[in-house]
Amino acid sequence: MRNFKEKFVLAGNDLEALCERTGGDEDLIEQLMQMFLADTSWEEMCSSIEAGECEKAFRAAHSLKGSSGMLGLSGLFEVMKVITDMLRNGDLDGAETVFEKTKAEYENTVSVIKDFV
Amino acid sequence: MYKAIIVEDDLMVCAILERQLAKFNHLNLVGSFRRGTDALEYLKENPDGADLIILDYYMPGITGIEFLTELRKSNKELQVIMITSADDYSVIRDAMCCGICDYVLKPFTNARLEKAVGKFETVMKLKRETHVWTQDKVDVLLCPHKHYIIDNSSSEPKANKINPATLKNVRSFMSEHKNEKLPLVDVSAALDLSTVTIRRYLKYLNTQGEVEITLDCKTGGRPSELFEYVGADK
Repeated sequence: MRNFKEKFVLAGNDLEALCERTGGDEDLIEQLMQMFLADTSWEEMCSSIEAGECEKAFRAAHSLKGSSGMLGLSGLFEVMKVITDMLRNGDLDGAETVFEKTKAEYENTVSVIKDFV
Repeated sequence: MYKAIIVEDDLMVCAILERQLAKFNHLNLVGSFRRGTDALEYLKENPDGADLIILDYYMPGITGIEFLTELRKSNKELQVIMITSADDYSVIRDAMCCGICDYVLKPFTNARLEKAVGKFETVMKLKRETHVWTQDKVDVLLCPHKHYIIDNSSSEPKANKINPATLKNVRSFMSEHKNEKLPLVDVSAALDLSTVTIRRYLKYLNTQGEVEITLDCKTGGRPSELFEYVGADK
């Protein structure tokens, strides 16, 4: 767990917020990280953007924004805020321009969590 | 003990909320729903099934606002705290129109959640204990964030205008007339203090649960307030 916490912080995440919300319960943190990996919002957002379904993409992005914020995944939360706002406004082109950056952040977050879970 | 339910589709947020809500001694989490329609069904079958709803906005099926609109057709009393990442004004405005108790944005801090639950408890206490809706009470009802209960020592309205010696006199006089409904002028005359001052102390004792205020409508003119000492042990 110590190793995970260090990596979590080094990746720019908010460990303090995560510990505050979970009461520092390591079992709960692990459970939450597993839930995050099992969550399909990212895949739904990607396929909806590809299909040009803006409303659907917005819903998925909004969901990921919410959970990343609650789990203290700060880097991902920040990029999700940007892409969610674009999708909310129907700006699919804008969403595509920030997509690569968002994807890199998502993959980075997933790799930190996968090391742990 | 208040019954609470969660209406939230995100399992991670649910897990965190369940952990956080368990910290509040007066709350008992009795249900958790992923869809608004399931929660509506539960409330239809169990009209007293909740005092508080923790509600998300975006969920599969109906949104939090659609849920609230449906709920308010039959239930105007249930308190609702929205906890959502929906940060657009139109959603906040619609939630306000549906009479929410509080609106908390994700990601929330523990302190903000405590404040929301404190607001809820303030409103419930006020509804339960208020017989005469004075301006003070209405103000607390509409702005409970200024008066929310986190611990019992934190909310003593206008305590700075209360002189301990005068309070002792008023309390002593009232306790000597325990269970008698006294008009303001009687207390004022007995203690040789103005009605404005006496009223302030009686109102203060009312906030402490020691004095109850009722309205006397048989005066032949304007109804007048009656003050009754009911005891200090709450």
